[in-house]
Amino acid sequence: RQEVPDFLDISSDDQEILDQQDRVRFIGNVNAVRGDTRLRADEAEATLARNPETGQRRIERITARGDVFYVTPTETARGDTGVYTVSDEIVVLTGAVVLTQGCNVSTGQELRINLQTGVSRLTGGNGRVRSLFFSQDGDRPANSENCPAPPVPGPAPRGYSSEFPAEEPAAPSAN
Amino acid sequence: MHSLTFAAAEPSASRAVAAARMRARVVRNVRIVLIVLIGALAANLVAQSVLTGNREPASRPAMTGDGERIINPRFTGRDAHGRPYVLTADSAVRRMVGLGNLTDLENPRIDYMLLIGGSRRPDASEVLSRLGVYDDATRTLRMTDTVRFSTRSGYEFRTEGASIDLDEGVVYGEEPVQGRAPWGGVQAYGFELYEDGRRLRFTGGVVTRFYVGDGAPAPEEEE
Repeated sequence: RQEVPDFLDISSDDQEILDQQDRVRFIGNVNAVRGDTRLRADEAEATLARNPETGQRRIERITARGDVFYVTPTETARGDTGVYTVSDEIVVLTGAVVLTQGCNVSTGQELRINLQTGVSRLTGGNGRVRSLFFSQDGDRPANSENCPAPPVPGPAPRGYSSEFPAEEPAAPSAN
Repeated sequence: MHSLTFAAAEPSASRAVAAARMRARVVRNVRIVLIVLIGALAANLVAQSVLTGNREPASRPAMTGDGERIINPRFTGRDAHGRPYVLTADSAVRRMVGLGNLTDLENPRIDYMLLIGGSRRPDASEVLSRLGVYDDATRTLRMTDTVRFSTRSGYEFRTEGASIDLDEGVVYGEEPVQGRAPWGGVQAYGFELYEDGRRLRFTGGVVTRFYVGDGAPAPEEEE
């Protein structure tokens, strides 16, 4: 996995900090990006945790709702809700999960992704996991160039800029 | 010996007495009315001070005269929550008559519960911005040009334009703003600060940076 930076950027239309509750809410076109991993949702909430020794507060978890997409260079997964626990580097998507890896597509109820090991586990909940695998010929996997990744709604993520303010933000796309 | 004839005079004497009695009655009535009026006025004053509660009206600075440059002005008052504020500046010029109650300030500073001027030092004498306009009718300070302040809850703000509503205890701005948080940073195109800086809202193309891990520094943007 690509070297993981020691920060995580979240872009959104609006944001609200509830300082005393150690919570930060994101509203509208939310994109959380860390390294080459992206979590997209309609709304999200970050929870901060306080280090007992240093007293420093750091992000502990992001809870995402509404058209949640987990996107990496090799796979795209979609669910109704998503939780990214930053400290353990675990992402869990739930609710009508569709996982696309190249040309292969699988559906289930819960997808658990360990960002450190790269291992993903899709379970069917009380239903079954269903998968569709394409092969070129024989047992060679299909060429993923022929299978574009599913589109992710809303604008692309925006990063924390060192030359802020560069220019007025693009008006949030009406979708 | 002459006898004074009174008979003829009697009707005019009684008229005079009647007139005098009338005047006395009028004077008595006027006195009563006056007393009632004074009582009503006193009651009104008491009612006014109770109604406005502890909202002490902002006292005007010591001024040498309208339109003149005032050295070391001081605007004091309390916000809607009863919290005192003292607004000072290097100098102030009250705008000419007809332009409302506006006073142009240089290097405004504030001693106020909600925020501290400057970015880091909690010394109340820190400058909020290079320029300011204070409206003592709406009790709003408009800050422009290198606006820097922090909240008591530990958030630092850098922008080119923001306002403090000293009545409601709210700080807001509609210009690009960078906020540094104890856990990271925020960049946005508008903000509002409520509840003594414990609730902060950023609007318009917001990007929030969270630091992960304990050693991570806050975003470095040295002047």
